[in-house]
Amino acid sequence: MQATNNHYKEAKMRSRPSLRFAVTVLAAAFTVPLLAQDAGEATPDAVAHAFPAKPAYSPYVDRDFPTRPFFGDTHLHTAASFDAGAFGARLTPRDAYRFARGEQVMASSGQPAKLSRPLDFLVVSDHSDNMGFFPDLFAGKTELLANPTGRRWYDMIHGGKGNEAAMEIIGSFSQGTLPKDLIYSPGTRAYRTAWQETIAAAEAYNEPGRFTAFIGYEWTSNTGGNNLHRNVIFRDNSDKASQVEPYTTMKPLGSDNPRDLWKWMGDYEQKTGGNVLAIAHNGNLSNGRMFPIIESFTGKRVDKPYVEQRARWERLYEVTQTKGTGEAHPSLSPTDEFANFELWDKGNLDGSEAKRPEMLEAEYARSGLKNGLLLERQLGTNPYKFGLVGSTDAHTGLSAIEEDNFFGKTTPQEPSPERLTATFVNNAKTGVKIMDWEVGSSGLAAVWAKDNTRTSLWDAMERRETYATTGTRLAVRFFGGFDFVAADAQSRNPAVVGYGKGVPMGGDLSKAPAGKAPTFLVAAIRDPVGANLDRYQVVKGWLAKDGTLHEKVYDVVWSGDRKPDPTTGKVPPVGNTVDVANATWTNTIGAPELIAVWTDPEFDASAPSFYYGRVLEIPTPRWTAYDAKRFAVQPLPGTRMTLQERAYTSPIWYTP
Amino acid sequence: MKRLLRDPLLHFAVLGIGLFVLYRAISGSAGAAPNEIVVDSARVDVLATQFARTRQRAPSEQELRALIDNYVREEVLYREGLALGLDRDDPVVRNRMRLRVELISDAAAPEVSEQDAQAWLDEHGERYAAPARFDFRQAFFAPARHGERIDADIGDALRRLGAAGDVDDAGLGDATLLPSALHGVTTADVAAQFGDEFAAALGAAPTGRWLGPVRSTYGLHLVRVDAREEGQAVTLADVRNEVERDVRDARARAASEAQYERLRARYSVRIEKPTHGLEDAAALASQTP
Repeated sequence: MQATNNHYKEAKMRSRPSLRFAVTVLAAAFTVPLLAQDAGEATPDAVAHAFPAKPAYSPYVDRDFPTRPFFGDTHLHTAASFDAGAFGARLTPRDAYRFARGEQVMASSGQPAKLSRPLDFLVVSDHSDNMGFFPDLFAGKTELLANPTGRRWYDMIHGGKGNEAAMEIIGSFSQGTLPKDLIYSPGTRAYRTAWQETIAAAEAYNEPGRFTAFIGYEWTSNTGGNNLHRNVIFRDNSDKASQVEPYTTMKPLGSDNPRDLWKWMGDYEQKTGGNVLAIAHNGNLSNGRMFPIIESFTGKRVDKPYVEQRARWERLYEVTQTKGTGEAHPSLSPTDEFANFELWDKGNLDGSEAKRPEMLEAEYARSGLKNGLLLERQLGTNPYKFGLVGSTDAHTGLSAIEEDNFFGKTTPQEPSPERLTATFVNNAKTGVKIMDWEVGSSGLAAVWAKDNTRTSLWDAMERRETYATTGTRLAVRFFGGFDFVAADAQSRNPAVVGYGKGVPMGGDLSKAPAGKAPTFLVAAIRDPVGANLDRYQVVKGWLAKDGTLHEKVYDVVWSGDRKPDPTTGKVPPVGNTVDVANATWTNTIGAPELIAVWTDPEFDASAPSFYYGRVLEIPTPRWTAYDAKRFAVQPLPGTRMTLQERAYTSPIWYTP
Repeated sequence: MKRLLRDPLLHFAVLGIGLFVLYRAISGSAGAAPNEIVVDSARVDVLATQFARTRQRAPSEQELRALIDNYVREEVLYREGLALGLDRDDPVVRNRMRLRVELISDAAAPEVSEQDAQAWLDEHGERYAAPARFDFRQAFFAPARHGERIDADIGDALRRLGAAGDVDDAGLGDATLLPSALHGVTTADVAAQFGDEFAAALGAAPTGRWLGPVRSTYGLHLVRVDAREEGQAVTLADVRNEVERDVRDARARAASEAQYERLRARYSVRIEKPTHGLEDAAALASQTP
């Protein structure tokens, strides 16, 4: 596979601070002017040149930008994760990649599983702590070397005859003639670390252009049950990733402080010339620690090194997954009628500490984005300038989060008549209790990349041209600039106009021209096999002169002829076609596609701001409805049976 | 006393004690003292190597000392845990053991010979065949926008394009996120954006002219396939890596199963009746807090 990967390797274009827009948008000839635009300078010439009024003869000339989102999962555990194994997961990283590519596999619960459509990419992110069987034989463990047979195998492995050694080991094991001292000793795969096995699995299934298997792991900082987990994703192939062991949290080798993880990431890049990024998740289970103003490790305010490092290494945040969605919370955003969505807000990860209201602000993406503006004013860098993705965090080896094909978060939650009524977390001391039905069938990471390769997808993640979905595959565009006009929404190719006159999701705007407010070209099209769209909203957050933070949700474009309420300005609900008893719905309401240009009506050119898109589908049956129907089980009182699937785009920031 | 000496129970006890002493003597001479922990130089090397591969630098004296202390602590508690039999009923330990033993059989897959690979490819050729690829353009007509006029509007557009189909299509059709032109895409790629029905229609469409309406999951389209490269079978040389990977995986799964059958045959299993009826068990479970 190595040769194939190298063949597809792209020229490396990484200058972290200014990467966001230029890399894939245009060919090298236009890179310089676009970088200038990225820095906030006008470049009408470049735009005119790149998008001349008269169309070129070849329909493909202006296609040097991403034309479709790639859907994948950046967060999946297999049996190599000790907790997944304890739950009964048997699937290996290889099985996980096979399943994600669309093959049928046998789930750990003994039932066949297959996706409706293959995913485009997958990161197997097993926990680094306890991941591994240390390579006893490879490292020359003394007990083994003391045995003549062990010694011979050791020499064979080091002499490049690993395969033969393995065959001998297997043979003697199967026949029961393994020397007693070696009885627990490993076979071919076990003389590598679990990490090397993870890498080998990714290499075996990575097929550039068709399916991307990323190398990655999860660094699971969980002191006191407070979730500060991060997934680390490599841009690189085996040659670089296998030079290191993943960073762990257990002392003395590892650390539970993210600053130490960032140091590890820096050391890796320096040593290998490779690239890694980290994606945090489940701030909702961090009990006030995910987006801190006060650092939990020191009790002091975050400082300049913290904000700079975090901004450098953590360009994305996983906003929705099986253990809850963390975009917004009703008590932080009381006027947002869609904030109450698939929340897990009762306590920390293991329920050992109950939630207190003051914790929420440092847990949710929207409040994190807001506090980032404040920290930038104080410290010069915005630590919480993150884009958004969703992923599963399933511990089954199965990225199976379609509502009608949900294989649960853990192996005991794979489809069965019991899971509608079973208990997931129950801490009698704190009273934190979470039922299996509260587990969400969510989510996916959508990435606007030019090609389905490690480098192309990773670069798109690094420039934040991503959005999160709660499991469906709607396509969402979000462009910001100062010159979008209503007619741009009528263009046959909104993306051409979007890239030509603005920046895509994850980008930056600054220095508003006098008298102009930011304009946004927003567009979404439903999942080809999914539900129609209810509405496209823009969520704005800003920092006022007096240091106060604000947020507002605007309905921008919606289906049908609904009229906003004259007092609240809110568009009324789209309706509901769900037949819960039969777990069906119809696309007789909503719209297949929504496109509009929106101008910020309350723009203050001196206020640092961010804008992101939120797209809602019409109501559809939740996985619980499919279960109740298929297993003929009565759900517990209070079980949610419908939901409005949705997408959250990475923000576009405005900096005065 | 004499009676006591003749008591079989005593004989038993003496014999037992004797065996115990003998066992201690033999087992004691076989290895290190049971309460000795040796951190030998190879172990120290392992700890230092692991540190270096994680932190990208060698450990300091102090750090190495901490690693060794940690290892000793782990070894002490591990041995005590084993002595108490805590591994026996720990589901994490048991699962881990199971996985490790299963992994051993994974390695049983030997080199995949040329013949084996070819035989696999012959059997599963469709998995590896290069799919058909298209260059095509499309213009979209949204039912909601055109209403009852949609067929007439499409007919108009088609007439304007002309049967020759070399007219530039810019400006025709509605605004949409669907791409107006795609290059070198497979049927699966098309289906992922337009739905299965549209993708199938595209596969059957003649090249070089506009035609329609073609239905997608979103509405109606005029379509022009500019070029089509038919799918084709591949030779082993094209897909040797993929075939080898899949053969190995298939063999590993088979070997794992075969290994279990072999190991299972070494055991006789006796299953007793549950103490409670199954109904009672369910009742007990529901009472558990």
